Amino acid sequence: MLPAETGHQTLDLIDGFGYQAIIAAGILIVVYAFIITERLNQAVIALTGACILILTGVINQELAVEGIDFNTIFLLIGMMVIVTIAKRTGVFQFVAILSAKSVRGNPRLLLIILPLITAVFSALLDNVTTVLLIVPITLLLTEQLKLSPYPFLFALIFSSNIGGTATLIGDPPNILIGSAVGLSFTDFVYNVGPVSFITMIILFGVFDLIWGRNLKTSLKARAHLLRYNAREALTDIPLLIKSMITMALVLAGFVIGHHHGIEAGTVALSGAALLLLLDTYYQKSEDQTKSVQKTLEEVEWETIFFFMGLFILVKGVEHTGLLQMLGEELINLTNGDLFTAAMVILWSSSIVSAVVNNIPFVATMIPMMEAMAPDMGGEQAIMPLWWALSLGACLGGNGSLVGASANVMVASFAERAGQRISFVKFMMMAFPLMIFTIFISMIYVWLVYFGS
Amino acid sequence: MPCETATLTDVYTVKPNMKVEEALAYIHEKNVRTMPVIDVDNRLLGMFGLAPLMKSLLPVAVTMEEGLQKLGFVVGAGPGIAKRLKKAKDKTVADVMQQDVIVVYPATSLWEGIRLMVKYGSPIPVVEEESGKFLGILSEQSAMTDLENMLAELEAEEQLS
Repeated sequence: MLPAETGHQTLDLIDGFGYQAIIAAGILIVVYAFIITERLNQAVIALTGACILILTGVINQELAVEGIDFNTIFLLIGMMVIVTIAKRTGVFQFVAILSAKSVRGNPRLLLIILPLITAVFSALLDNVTTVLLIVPITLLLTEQLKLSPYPFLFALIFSSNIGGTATLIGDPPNILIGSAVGLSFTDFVYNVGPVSFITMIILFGVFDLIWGRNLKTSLKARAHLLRYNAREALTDIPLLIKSMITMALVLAGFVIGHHHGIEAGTVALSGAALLLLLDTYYQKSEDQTKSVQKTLEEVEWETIFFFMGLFILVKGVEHTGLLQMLGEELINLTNGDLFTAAMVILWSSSIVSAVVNNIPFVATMIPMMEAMAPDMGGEQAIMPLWWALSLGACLGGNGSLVGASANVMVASFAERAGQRISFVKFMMMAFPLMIFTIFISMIYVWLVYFGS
Repeated sequence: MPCETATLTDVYTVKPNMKVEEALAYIHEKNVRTMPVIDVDNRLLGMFGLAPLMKSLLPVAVTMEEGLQKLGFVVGAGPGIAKRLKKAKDKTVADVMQQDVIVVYPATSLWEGIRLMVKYGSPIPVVEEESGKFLGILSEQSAMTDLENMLAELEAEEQLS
């Protein structure tokens, strides 16, 4: 048995740093393990972990609430509400049919135009919603043209993740980074937009080389497709106009608002409130309630609670000083060299994101990288590191079928349609292509931020 | 009052390996809309009829979960659908039957049976709870007949008293 005084000293030491850090790190690792193995629902396990952190006294409730990034939460909810209402108009199918007709059903061009509109939609909406709306119409078009849907689904996965990389709102890692660092919509467009665009163009060539040039269909099937009446896909034109006006205002708000201290979360939530108002103001009181309830039910609350749980978890770990310690380790590992750090972050985030959910990874990386800023020349100096993290985490999601939520969604649709995408077959092609896109990003980061 | 009393036991059925073309001719001949699909052990496998056949003619992009909600934009699809029917006729009943069928047990209350018919349509197969063996069907007509008989019995009892 230890003498009483020595025992107190040991307890003091544990209380000072180690004890809470061990609990926090242990909970975080267990939560990550469950998220990776998908043994438990990600929202449930993140919330459970967050509650355990509070109940064990690692952080108190005030600190937990402080940890939740409400800008991100507002942005997610706001955009989800807008998309839920806008998708009822059939506009996404309308655009897809119009695009297919614009290339006269040419399968080679279709393999460019469908991923292109997916990339554009993904840049402005979340990736999962985009593929949810584009995949069914893609399956119909490929069935009509008697083509294998696989190349199209593969290209849709890549384009949704690449398109999402280009903007603040396109992919959850960008939302997290943008909100934590205070980056604007235009910051993302200027910094990661060009490399996303270049990567997409190069991949169109790659897809054409692998599949496009060999795609063949009959003139009869193409003639059938040309008879499609895209206008018929639109279900509610007044609502479409309201949705487009709201979307335009929201985009303008993202661009202008940042300079006036209005955060993206406020812009998205204001857009959601406006569209809900425009959608329901003319209805009777009870119909308004039903309509609003129906829209709000479609918000992906699982994602929202997952984020909230994750924010609390990361706050808990950050509070113990563990992430700062890891940040210091990263600085030591890279000898404090910014370029080396950027490359380490770019490549490690891409590899990790290819095999596990990139959201918890990015959420953990953010406070760690923030802790690195003072030793690496300040907040402005480490900006290239944020772009490296954004590119690595978003593009890394292309590496496997489980790399991003959009991939899982496409695979699920393919399975439902009897066109199962094999995990291994996908990865054999996707992983090297993902590495190729990271290589492009590496050159871009080097040229743009470290070239001179 | 259980569903058992309203169950029709003399029912036309089809086998899963029967060609759709033959099964279609059979339901036309017997002038019914739908028939239970039964295996060699008399277990219910699904329901075959015009509605499941129609569903099989639709593109998978529509019939799958969260698929397309509208097909109005597809113009001039008539010949294409006719060709799909031709292909479907060469398939077996098992390929096009409805598999996720709502069933009732003999002991299920008739009220529950009526509720299910109102919600999911008629007829509803009646199966043995433990073995899943097919016993008959509960239809709108059979339920009405059962209720009419009960009403007649009640009136007769009232007259006697």
